[in-house]
Amino acid sequence: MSILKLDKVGLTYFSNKGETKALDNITFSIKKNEFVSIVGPSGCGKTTILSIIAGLIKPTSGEILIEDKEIVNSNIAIGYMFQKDELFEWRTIQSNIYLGLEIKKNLTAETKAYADNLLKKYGLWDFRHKHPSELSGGMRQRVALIRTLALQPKILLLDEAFSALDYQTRLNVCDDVYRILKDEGITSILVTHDLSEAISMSDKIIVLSKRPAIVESVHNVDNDMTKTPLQRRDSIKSKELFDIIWRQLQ
Amino acid sequence: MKHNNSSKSNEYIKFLKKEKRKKFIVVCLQILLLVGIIAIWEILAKTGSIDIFITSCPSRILETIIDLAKDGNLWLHISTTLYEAIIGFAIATILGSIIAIILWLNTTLRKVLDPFLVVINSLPKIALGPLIIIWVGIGTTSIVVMDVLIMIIITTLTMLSAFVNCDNNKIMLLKSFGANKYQTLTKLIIPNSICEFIGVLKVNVGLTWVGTIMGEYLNSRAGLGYLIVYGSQIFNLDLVMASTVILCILAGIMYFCVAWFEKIIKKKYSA
Repeated sequence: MSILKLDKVGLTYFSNKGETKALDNITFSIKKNEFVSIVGPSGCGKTTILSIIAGLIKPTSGEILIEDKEIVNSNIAIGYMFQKDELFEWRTIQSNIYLGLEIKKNLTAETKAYADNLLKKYGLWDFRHKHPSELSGGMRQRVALIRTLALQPKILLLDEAFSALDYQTRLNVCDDVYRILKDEGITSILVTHDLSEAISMSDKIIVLSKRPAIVESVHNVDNDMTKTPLQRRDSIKSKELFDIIWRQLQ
Repeated sequence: MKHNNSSKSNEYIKFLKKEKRKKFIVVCLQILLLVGIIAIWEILAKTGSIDIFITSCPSRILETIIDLAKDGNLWLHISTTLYEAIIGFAIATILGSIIAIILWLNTTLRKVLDPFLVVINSLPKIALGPLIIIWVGIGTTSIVVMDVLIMIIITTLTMLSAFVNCDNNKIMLLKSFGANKYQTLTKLIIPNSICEFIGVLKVNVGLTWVGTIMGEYLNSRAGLGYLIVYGSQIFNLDLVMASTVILCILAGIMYFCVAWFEKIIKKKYSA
């Protein structure tokens, strides 16, 4: 059963200068616990797709189904991770991870304990009274992830979530986040312009065309899933897939 | 990084000493400058090089202040002006911020009022003096109104621009949690603008004296502005100078209060 399905989703932007068709007939579905990446030329509307799934933008046409129900009728939580960590400097780490719970008016002893437990589990408990500026970039991104996970989402959207980090940190954070997401059993959609990153992390890669974006192809990644994303980067299968997608995007 | 005494290297101790010395020298020079100006002023006056009828001199200023204190009038004038300045400051800062919040919440209203705010902001408020007196009458109220008018528009504009310039990604983050506009305001927009708010306080703490004294120039029966006008009319420069000196001290104290408040806020909001 698919947890998420986009059915002929289209989006047109309207402005004073005219109308721009951004997405055209986007159809794909994602299975439970799958890690899916969306790649495509820059400006093709990858982020727009995430915004639509998160309910931040309404599509002009088509529909989004979560567990075969329309999104408005669904009570499944969707988490969203941005390019930057967007931590609030005036809050401590602990109070930052409670933010989503506060907004959802769901800050109870139980949810607090769940969030605190995530901090402990992923090595940030000792930093709970610090402010974001006292943490390194990699740690901050981990806090941002925990802030999202505190809401116990079933689906997580990652929008270039690692691209603001330096390369070293980025490779480590990728492994880190991947492990956490698999541990927690979360279905994830990653938007990225880094093909190697997409191939190393995903079960499936969706390639989009130039604007107006359509789904150009879907590749299943046949990699050894017992390895970490970093180890998978070097496999022959990864390199073959890289070549195929690279040529497609040219 | 925390250092305890045992872990300090000799070089570090030397560095700390040097920094302390630099700070000490600056404070000494500041005191010297103040004392020097007062001394030179007094000496020039005593030797007759300057006309004390026009310039007054430190000893006569002190005498005037003591006389005022003996009359019991000193406290009346200080408290009148201080009251007007603080009330005006509080009303303008709070009301101006509330208007900014309302305008942030209502985009249409903001767009409608934008040109009006800009025009009112560039209008010299003193021009409204006669109108204010006709509308609210003479006395403390008209002075506070004048004071508030001078600060409120700039407060609204500064706070509104801080609200509007909030990072859009952070707003999107809250939206992804399902935040409504009121939650976005309280969880993000207001705490995010705290630095600008302190900036507004610092500007207003200066402007409120401008407004109060200007108001007292227009109409008043007591206050430091009244003393300055009265003193200049009867050509009593001792009184004018004495009032100015007291004003300097009060403005200084009020500024340090705001600076102290800033320190507390900064401590609370970041490490």
